Amino acid sequence: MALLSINNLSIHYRAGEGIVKAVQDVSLSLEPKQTLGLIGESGCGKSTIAMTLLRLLPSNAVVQAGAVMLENRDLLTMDAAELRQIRGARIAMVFQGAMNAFNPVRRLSSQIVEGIRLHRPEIDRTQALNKAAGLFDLVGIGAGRVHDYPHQLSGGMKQRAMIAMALSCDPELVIADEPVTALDVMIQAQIIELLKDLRRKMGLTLILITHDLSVVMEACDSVAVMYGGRLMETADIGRPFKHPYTQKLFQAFPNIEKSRDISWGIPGVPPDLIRPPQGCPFAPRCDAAFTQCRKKMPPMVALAPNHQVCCHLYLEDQL
Amino acid sequence: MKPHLMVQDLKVWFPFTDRSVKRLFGGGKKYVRAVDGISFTIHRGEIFCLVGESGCGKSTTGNAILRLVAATEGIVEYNGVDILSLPPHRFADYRPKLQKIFQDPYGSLNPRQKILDVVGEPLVIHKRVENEEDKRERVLNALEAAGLTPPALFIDKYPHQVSGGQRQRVVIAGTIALNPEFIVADEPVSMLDVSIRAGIIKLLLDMQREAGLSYLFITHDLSLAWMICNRIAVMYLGRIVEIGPPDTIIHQASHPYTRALASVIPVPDASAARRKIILEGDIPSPVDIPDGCRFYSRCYERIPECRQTAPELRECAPGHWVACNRI
Repeated sequence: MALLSINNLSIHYRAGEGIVKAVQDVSLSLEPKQTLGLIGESGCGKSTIAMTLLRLLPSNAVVQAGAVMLENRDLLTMDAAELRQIRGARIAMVFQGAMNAFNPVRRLSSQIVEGIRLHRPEIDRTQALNKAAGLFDLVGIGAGRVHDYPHQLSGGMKQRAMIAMALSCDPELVIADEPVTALDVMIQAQIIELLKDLRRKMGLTLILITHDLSVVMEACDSVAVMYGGRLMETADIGRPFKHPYTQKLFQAFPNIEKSRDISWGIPGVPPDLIRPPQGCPFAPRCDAAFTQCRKKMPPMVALAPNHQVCCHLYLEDQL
Repeated sequence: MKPHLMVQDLKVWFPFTDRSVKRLFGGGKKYVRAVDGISFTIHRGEIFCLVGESGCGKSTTGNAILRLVAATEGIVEYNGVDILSLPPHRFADYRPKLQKIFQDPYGSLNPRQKILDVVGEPLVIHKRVENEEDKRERVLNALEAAGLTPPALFIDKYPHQVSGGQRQRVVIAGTIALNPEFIVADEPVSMLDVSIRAGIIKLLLDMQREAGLSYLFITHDLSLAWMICNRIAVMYLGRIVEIGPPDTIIHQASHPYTRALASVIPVPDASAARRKIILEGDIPSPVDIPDGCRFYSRCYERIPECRQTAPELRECAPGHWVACNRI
């Protein structure tokens, strides 16, 4: 059974100029021990989905439709008390911008112990502290630094500490929102290796949210591609991409194993989500678009058991 | 051929006072050696990339060349003229020729100025326009050259009314309005989405081809440098460790640091099995730089000699320079 399933989720934001349709009819599911890469460019709705999973959406967000099932419980209809049992304990999050995610005036140990003791009152302070120290070893900071203040750690170290904190209550699911974006390339590589290592050692179930397709290709089992608030393609890593957007995005990343030819990106700009275009949101920038694409949103088409694409090109009855 | 720009033994040291030392012993004046003796040349029409991690001194190098920060030592010759030793009023003649494109298109445009004034201001400062009408005409041309078409649609807007990619085009329009010859492009695309990025790069390359511009292109992204430039220089802790053509730097680098950097470039191909060299730890502090090779603390091929002897940049093959004691 899927650990997590998102069913037909739509989320809108009320903004001054109108309603922003940030996420539209997105369905996804995640098996235990799987790593899913959720990818897309700025404003595609990927972080909104992450925030929905922990119900951390800002007050102007409205869940228009859909359900988020953690095993058999809907996270979206839970009351606050029940939600508290889940946040941090069963679903943990590594936030974007590790620099600012810790409280700067408290020691890391006290911040991590607090989380453990909140969810597991039966664990005493010493045990919790031992656990935190063990996690610091596991993520490669070294147990000796568990009493440091956040400013004593470098950027890469802070990100490791964030990961240690996320793991502190043995969550079933970890969501990492752009965990390597603000970091230097070498530190980025260190963190990606750490995540891969943790998957091997602990059987971590992970949702990795990023704009970097190369990172997903290196660290994940499967990928979900979003554009303009919609899910465009889901596929196991290794399958060739079929959606015109994913293909273009894929080509836009430099590949040092290939020749130095430059791909010229995708002309045009992402859609205005207050007034999204009729039909497929990518149609205005798509080379392969035809009349139908500008009229009607295509359904998800299954190309293989683990490969779905949302595009009129792959509908059998298109002709 | 005479180089367009020559940098020789450039040093930029930022002084600061270590208060705890001062209290105990007096003195306590220390330096952040951001750039610590680097030399390179850029030919006319060339794209020269400086690559390195945060804090390696690549942006400071760009700023020192443009005299946006004061160099501590060294020579920067532009067309044979030492521009660092010119008095300010004489250097003013060079300002329009040497321009900079900043990283953050959200921070580098005055939010309360219309695009007309943002792009037009340098023209007014350098007295390139006679009246408002002339300025408008010149700004329209610059916007069009920067790929903002039709320019009339953009000229009366404020920066917040256009997208991120378009903002960076406005920044570029402001730069090219003065017809520069040499541009320092400091991470010009790192804030932009991948699908938008390529369009900006194309614009920069077109400007190089059509106007014969030379670039000092500063980036942390080695794969981007590889794709667009003629030569790459890799910096580490204020020094250049290797200079060479892009394919050499990516596939046949000699310096251990360059090889490590190239090995961790993510490749969008799950089947590519690549051996990664992941360096431990972080770049050391640029304050108390030890003797010997700066890379010593993280090097996986160090020999005892490296602790004492700082390697010089030597040419190990035509056009391929390396600073390593083992080569």
